[in-house]
Amino acid sequence: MTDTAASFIAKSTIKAADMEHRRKINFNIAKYNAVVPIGKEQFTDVMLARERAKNAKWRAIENLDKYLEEFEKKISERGAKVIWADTADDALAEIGKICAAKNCTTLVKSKSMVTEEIHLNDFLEKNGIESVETDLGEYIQQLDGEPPYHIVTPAMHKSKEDVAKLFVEKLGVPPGLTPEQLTLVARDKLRTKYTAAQVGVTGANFIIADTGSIAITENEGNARLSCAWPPTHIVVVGIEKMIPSINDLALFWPLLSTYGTGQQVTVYNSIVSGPKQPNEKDGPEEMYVILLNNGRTNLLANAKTREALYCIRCGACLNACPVYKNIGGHSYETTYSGPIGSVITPHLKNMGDYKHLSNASSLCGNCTQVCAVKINLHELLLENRQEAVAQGESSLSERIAWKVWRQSSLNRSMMNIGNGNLKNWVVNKVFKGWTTHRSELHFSQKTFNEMWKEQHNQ
Amino acid sequence: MKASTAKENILRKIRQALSTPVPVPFPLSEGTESVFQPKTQDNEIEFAERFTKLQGRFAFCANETELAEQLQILLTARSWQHIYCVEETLKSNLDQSALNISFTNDLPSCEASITSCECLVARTGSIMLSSSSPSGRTTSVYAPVHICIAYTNQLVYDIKDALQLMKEKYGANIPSLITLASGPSRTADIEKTLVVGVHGPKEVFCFLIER
Ligand code: SF4
Repeated sequence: MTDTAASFIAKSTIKAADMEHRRKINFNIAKYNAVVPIGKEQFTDVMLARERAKNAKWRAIENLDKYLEEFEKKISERGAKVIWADTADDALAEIGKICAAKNCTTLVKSKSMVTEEIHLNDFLEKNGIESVETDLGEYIQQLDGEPPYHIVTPAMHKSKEDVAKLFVEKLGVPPGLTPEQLTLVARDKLRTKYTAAQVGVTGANFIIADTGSIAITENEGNARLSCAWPPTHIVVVGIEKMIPSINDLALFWPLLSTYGTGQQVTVYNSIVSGPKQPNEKDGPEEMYVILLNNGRTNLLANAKTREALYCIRCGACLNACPVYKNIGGHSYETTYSGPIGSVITPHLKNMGDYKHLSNASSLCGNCTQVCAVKINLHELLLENRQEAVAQGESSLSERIAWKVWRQSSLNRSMMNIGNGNLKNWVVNKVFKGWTTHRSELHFSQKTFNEMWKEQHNQ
Repeated sequence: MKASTAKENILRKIRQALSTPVPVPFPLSEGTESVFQPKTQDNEIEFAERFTKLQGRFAFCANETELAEQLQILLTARSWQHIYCVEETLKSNLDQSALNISFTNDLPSCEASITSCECLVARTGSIMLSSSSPSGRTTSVYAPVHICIAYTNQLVYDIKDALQLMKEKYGANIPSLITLASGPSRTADIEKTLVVGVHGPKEVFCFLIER
C-alpha cells in the first residue's frame, strides 16, 4: 500500500468517527437537498435537459482540437492572448512571467478549482505576491490555511461558530458575529483589494468556441470585480471546459445552477470575450487565457473514461455520496474530492498513488443518478479499479482491508462497536503502510457515543 | 517559441486520443425544442414575480414622469446624496424630469448607481448587462445599490432569446463582458445561510417603464 493510500485510510477512519463533522455536513447537505427540487421545477423534462447537456459536452470533447483552435483564433482577434500549458508547472511559469512583467505585488483571485489543482497560491507566495481569495468560502479557507473542502461550498465543514471564531483570531473582530456580520467584514476587507490589485485571476466554467469567450458562474460578484478593476486579467482553465456555442449557455447555466445550489440561475453568469475593447469605458487592458492540460489528455485517451471530461463541477455527486458525507472532503487529500475526484485524480496524477480512491466507494450508484450531465460515475470507478488491477497494483490483503474499511466507514453502528481496539487494528495493522512510515495511531478506547453518554450522564 | 511547442504537444495528444471516437450518448434526445417551462403569462408579470422572489425590488412605471416620481420617493426615503450615473442619455432624461438628484463622479463612495441594461429575461427574473454601455464593467457591481432603468420592449422570455438578441445586435463585435444578473449579490458560504450583499450590490432595483 502506498503512502497516499495509507494516509487516506487513516484520515478517513478518524473522520468517519467524528460526529460533530458529520452533523455539520449533514446539516449543509440537507439544506442543499431541500432546494434542488425547486431549481428543477424550471424544467419541463429535466432528464432530457441532462441528456442534451451530455450530448453537447460529447460534441465539444470529440472535436476538442478544432474547438480549441477556433477559440484561440476568435479571442485572439479581440486582443486576448492564449497560452497553452501542458503541465501545472508550465502554467505556473507563465503566470509568474506575466506577474513579473506587471510588477504585481497584489493579486485578487475568484474561486477556481483549477488554480487549486496547480497550487497557484503557494507559487505566488513563494514569489512574494499577495494572492487574495475573494470568494467568501475561499477567503475563510485561506484565513484558516486550509484547502477547500468542497468544490462548490469550500467551507462546508465549518459551522457559523467556527467561522466567527476564526474571524476573531485572524481579523481581530469581536466574538459572536452572525453570518450577516461576518459577510460584511469580508466585504469591507476585500473591497479595496479589487481596486489595488495589479492582476485579477479567475477560472472559467465554460470555454465557448464559436464566439471565442469564457463564461464564469458565481453568486457573490467577486469574479465580476476581479475581471473589472485590475489592469490584467488572467484566466486559468482546463481544456475540457469547452462547449461548442454561446447558445449552449441557455441550457448549461440553469443546469449548473440547479445541480450546484438549487437556484434557477446563479446571481451572476458572465461571458468574457477579451480585454477592454477600444470603445469601452473600463475593464482590463490585457487578458490572458491559460489553457491547461495537466493530464486531461490521459482521460481523453481512454474511450471509457473520456466522459469524465464532461463534468461541469456542479458538486451534486459529492453531496449524494455516502462516502464523502462520512469521511469528508479533506480525507481524499486531492484537489477534486468525492466521486468525480476519485474518477479523475488517478489519471491527472498517477494511477499508482491514487487508485485507492476508486476503492473508496460503496458503488451504490447515487453519484451516477444525480450527475447533472449523466456521467456514469460508478462505472468509471470500476473501470479505474480494473485498470489498477491490470497494472498489478492490488493485493489480496489490500482488497480485504478495503472491505473492512468500507463497512466501518459507512456504518455508524459498526463504528461504535468498533471501539479503539478495532480502529487501531484497521489503521495500524491492516494498512501496514501507515506504520511503516509513521508511529502508530491510537484511537480512544471509547467510541464517541460512549464518551458522549458518559459526559452527559445518560 | 516554447508556447507553440506546448500547443503542438497538447493538440497532438488530443488528436491521438480522439482517433478512437465514441458515439453520441443520447441520439434520441437531440433537438431544439425548449426543455424549460413555457410562457404562461405576460413577460412583465413573469419578470416582476421572479425578480421579486430573488429579493429584487421592482417598480412599474407607466411613463417617464412616473419614473421620476417613484425614483424621487426612493431617493428621499433613503436620503441618498451621492448617485453614480455615467450614461448621458439616462442622466439627461432624469434631469429633464425636474428630479432632485445629487450625482457623484466617485463610484467607490456612492450610495447607489443607475444604469440601463441590454434586456430583461422574464423566466429567470434576470437583467442582462454589458460592457458596451458607458457604465462599463464596474458600475453595476461595485456600487452598494444598483438601480436599473428598463423598458417593457426590452423584455424577452428566456436566456436563449437574450443571447440571440445580443448576437443580432452586435454580430462579431460582442461586448467584452456580458453579465446575466439575477437579483442582489448573495452567498450561502457560511452554513448555507443566505446573506445578500457580499461583493456586489446588496439591493437591486428595477424600474420598468411602459414603452
Ligand atoms: S461528475 Fe456530474 S455530478 Fe459530479 S460534479 Fe461533475 S457534473 Fe456534477
